[in-house]
Amino acid sequence: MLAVAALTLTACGGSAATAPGSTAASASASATSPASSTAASATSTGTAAGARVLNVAIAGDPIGFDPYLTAAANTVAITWNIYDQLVTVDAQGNLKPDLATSWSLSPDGRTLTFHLRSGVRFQDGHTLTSADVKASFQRMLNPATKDPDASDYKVITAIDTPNASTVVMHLASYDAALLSDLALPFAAIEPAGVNPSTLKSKPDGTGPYELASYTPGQDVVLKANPYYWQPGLPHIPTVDLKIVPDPSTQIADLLAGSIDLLPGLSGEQASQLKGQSGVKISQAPSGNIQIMAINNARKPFNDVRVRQALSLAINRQAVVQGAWFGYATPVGTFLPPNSPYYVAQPTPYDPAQARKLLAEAGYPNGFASTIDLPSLYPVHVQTGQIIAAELAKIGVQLKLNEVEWATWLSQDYAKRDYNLTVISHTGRLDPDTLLVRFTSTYPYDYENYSNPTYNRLIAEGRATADVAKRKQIYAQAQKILATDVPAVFLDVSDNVAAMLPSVSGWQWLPLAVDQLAQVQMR
Amino acid sequence: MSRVTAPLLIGGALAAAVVAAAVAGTALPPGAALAMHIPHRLLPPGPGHPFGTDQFGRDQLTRILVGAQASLEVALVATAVGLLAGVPLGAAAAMGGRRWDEVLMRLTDGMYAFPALLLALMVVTALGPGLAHTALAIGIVSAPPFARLTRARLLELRPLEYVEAARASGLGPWQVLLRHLLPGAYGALAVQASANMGGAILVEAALSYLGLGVQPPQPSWGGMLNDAQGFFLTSPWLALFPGLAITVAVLGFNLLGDGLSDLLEPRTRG
Repeated sequence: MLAVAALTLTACGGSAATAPGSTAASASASATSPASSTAASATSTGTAAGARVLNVAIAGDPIGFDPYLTAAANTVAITWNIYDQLVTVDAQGNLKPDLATSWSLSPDGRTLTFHLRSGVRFQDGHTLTSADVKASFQRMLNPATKDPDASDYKVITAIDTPNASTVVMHLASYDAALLSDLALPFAAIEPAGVNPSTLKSKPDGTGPYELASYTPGQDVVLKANPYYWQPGLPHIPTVDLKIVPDPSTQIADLLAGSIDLLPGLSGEQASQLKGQSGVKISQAPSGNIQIMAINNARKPFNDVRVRQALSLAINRQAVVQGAWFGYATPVGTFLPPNSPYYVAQPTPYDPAQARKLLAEAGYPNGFASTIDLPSLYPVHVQTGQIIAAELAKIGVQLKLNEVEWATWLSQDYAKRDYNLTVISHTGRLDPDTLLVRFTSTYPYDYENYSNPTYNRLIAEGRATADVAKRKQIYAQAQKILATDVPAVFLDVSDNVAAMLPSVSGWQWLPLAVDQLAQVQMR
Repeated sequence: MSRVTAPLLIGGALAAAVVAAAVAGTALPPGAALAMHIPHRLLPPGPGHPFGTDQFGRDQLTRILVGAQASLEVALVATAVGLLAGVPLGAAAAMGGRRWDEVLMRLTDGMYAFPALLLALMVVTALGPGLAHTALAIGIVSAPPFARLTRARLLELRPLEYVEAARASGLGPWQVLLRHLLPGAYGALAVQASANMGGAILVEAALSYLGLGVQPPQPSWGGMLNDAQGFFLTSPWLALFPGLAITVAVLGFNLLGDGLSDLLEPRTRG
């Protein structure tokens, strides 16, 4: 393997003069001489020829660089490094200061005051003031912007800026989820007075990296923001995010050394890299919950016994092993186990009981139906195949329909025209962001699930500040989901990144973002 | 003049092996190719699983045998469609006079302008994926060569004395065509049909590889290759066996075509 790596590196050494030697050395001699290689990197702090480039593989093109114009995870994974928010999170999901050094909530819960960090400058050189923050939220909440995530922030009715370093948000009502929503990449702070139409291609943030160039289909190059407010960060002057769509090529590139870091590995890829010498794996539970969505409005799925039977007949371990290669945890609810509000729900595998429930519902011999599988996501297609094999054992014959992603979004998700489908939903920080999806008033309640008690609990939860009380409310809500089975909750996958041994400092956040500023290279 | 050559024997044996595999596949219990056993996934070839198992623990040998059925079905239907569409077109061009000849031959030229796979892709995209549509798409792509061949043969035979004699004896144009002209093209058509089988298997594999042919979970060689792609570093046998199966089938039918050509059409060989 090492011989191959050295060979390939020599072949592409022209683009990064110091790369071949140092990478090959770190793969073979990392145990013997760590000190000398650290010294070597300390001399190359971003100027001229010695600058080391971090090569990262990403699967596809970002949809522009304006976090207000997209909900696409692969785009905000990049803009996270260009922009900051008022607040941010640590690896455990605790809120911490970002552009705001402190904040306070009024006793009635309807006024939120932020004090801004001083001396923060945008990549264009101008200093951050409360006017930038106000302009950002005004633009985001303006319906003309068409921000797909704006509904998370609609509780903000007005923003005052009593002075350059203070921002006062007036809220329509208390919103327990707002502060953590403000830590999401969708709440990035953009500059005031800039023509917003340019931000899609020329982002201007306060984050650790600025966009150096973007070549569609080829790469996104980021370079360190010279004005960045956190001393000593980012560590690496240039990051080249190379677009490599094919999963096997990504792995081959990493093993050959032309890629240093591969975030967002599938379980299938991770299982191939496991045990390979010269590769480090970083793994952490994600907040992504895979579900089999059920169209509750259609026969026979409008019968709760049929839905319960489906849940009982699917062996979640088979999905975790077969589709995720073990890089996932089975769940029976719509919150990830790393959420403080998670309450484990039983997930028994009991085909006999499932058959009994089907018989009670009037389907002693099962029935035939279809399951839509978004072909963009191989893991959902594989999960669908496993589900079809599992349900065949209780007489439910599923025809697999692979659908294009755009078709899935319009037909299954927007028009609710499907019987069953497999998809993942991204957990954000607050439990409400996931659980609200099963309220019948949610615009994308594509399961057509409607339960007034559940609706009431979720509304109560969002208006409750007391954490213990909120926990009680969400425990009840999760119990309802487990009993009513509006969807079969399958598993929470792991975030997995692979990197060469020379790369360190990679840390997963409980958000779907790639945090590059802390990454270091020898 | 006719002779039995090595390509005929080797091609015949390989093609027979593919047919035998497909027949063996029908003898398996239904659902055997779909049965998952995840604890036994990605097993290398060994006792119990001579070709190993895939990522769902499905037996690869079983899937190759059942996949042979799909490949042969598509190839047979496509070749039949090609013959049924191509031969009448070719005959019409040859017999229907100059204007028909021009129109029909420019039409086939137009279809020739697209690579077969691209044309099949367009047809499947328009009709939707699946086994029947794949067979139909490949059949449509196969028609122009049959039409060309039929036309050329008929034009070649028409001025010959025995045809003139038949016409002089008072037979109508249809009788001359069916009794005296077309039989003269059978040999060439058989050769083309065999070669077309090989080509059809290859295009079916390509379409299934792209996810447009046989739909999962039904096994197909192309689909198996696609599934294997993610595992070629750790489980190369997953790609090896369906790849071998495609090679054997395509080589077999092409050699058989060559051999048939030597046997039935000796004068076309140099």
